[in-house]
Amino acid sequence: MKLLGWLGEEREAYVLGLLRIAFSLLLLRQTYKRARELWTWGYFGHVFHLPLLPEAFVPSEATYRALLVVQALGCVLAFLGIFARPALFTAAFTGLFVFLCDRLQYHNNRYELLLLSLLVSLTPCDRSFLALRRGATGGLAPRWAARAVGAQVSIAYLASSLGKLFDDDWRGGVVMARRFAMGQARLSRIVPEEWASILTRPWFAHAASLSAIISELFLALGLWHRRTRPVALWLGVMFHGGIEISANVELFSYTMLCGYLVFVTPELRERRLSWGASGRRPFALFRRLDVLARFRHEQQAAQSELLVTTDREGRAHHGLAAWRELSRAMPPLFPLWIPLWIATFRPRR
Amino acid sequence: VHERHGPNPVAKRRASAATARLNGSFGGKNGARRRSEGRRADQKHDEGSGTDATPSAAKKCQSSGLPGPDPSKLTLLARAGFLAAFFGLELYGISWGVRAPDRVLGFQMFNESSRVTIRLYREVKKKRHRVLVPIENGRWSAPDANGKLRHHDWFSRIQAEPLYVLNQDMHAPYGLKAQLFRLQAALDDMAAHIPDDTVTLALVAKVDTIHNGRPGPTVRLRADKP
Repeated sequence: MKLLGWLGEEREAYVLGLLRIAFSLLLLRQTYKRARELWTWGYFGHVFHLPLLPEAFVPSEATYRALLVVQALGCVLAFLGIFARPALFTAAFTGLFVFLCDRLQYHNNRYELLLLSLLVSLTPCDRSFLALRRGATGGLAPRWAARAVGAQVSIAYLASSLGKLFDDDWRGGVVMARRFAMGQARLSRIVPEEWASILTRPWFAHAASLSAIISELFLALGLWHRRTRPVALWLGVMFHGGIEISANVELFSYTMLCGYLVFVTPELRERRLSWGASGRRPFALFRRLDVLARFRHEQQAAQSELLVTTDREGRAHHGLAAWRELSRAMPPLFPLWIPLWIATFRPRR
Repeated sequence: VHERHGPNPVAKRRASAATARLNGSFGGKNGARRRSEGRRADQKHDEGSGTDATPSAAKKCQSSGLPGPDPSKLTLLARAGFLAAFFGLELYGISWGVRAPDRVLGFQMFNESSRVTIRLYREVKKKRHRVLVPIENGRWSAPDANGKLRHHDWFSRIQAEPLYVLNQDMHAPYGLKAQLFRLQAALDDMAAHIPDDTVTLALVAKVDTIHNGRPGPTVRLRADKP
């Protein structure tokens, strides 16, 4: 019965519109990459390829071109919010079909993006961020598909972390050590040689491997619990930021970071952001930056402090703690949240 | 200067909407009343705070954004069925993928730091013996059935990285097994696409391997011409 209740749950759908925008753009980028590969290398069906589907299902060149056009069109329509859900579904399904036609082009990030896009198209993501209906605010809508998007994010982390955990070389740091050795030369151009040489130490690779496995496991599970979620999200942002800087992973980091949007509390403007008389400019700026509609924005002429934030429980925060609360709910400032949390930490008596 | 925002309605609204959802879904006694409470709370929320919507937009949104009729049990079961099928298929794909040589569908990111060096040969007959002739730069020439010299090119069919890179130490994406599996398939494909070559009996690849930094064996792969 609990499962049925979970399937019938309805929550605010505003943020899902942003999810649609993000995934339609990512999928469009992937489609563009495929089109560029077609232009540069020619049609994959004319050369050596390994389909996962039976060979008879592999489309002809003309059909393949048409499918790419359909996929791109679906992405554009989904982005604009015109027939958004069918358009995104068609784009994702077409992409998945083409993807299964050649396992040589398989990449985990592409597969994850297609699965997430397919699930996003099943969410009520067509109620906000619409080009033809500006100001649409979402409203209550079924939540089950959004939870499925979250589950898909977790599955990728879980499969990846368990694979690493059961691999002796990975767990022992051997795999990472080789990658660090390749990165050492690059790093030594930026930092002193002694610091860069740490990368080649076995203990460092071992520690980094364990950290990566633990991080991925924590991301897979921690995103689901209310108390651990903000920390998991912060860790995820750092984790993918690090990957993006150190490795070429196509759209993987962006895909996972956009997937985090489903873990945002759906309800809007539960916090309050109050600026003093001198905060006219930041008031305007942060109103724009608040794309997830986390805050009710106010400007108080009588307020002496520049900024006061009020959290969901109605507690007011002043000074650095106010900036901490602001960074917690404002995506562009989110990386600052843990440093500010540490800076403002007071042990409970 | 205050921007117009209503009182924080969330706790009340969320509680009433949640109760309405739960009771409504299962036909609770007060389901209808609580559903309407949920709607009223949501309307209040949209009017009061919302997202700086214009009145007309807010009106449009209220008409579309409010909770619809409660899903029937059949709808809920259909959703459950879809999720079971979707994730069941995906998990099957993962379990199959982690056992597949190229880990396809398995979400095994950065699984190895292995390297391969591929050297390519043609097996030809010379004085009753079969000998290996190195293929230099991926290109070779051989006469067809009419005795006309034909040129063949490894890269014309094999465009997947790192398979098209010969005699060079290359990173093996998705691991050694993945690249050896793909190389075997590439050899089979190439051998099947050189019917004009009447001299070559088979294509052979010798692959020097380094598995996660440790030197591995030299693997020999072979594809006979059909």
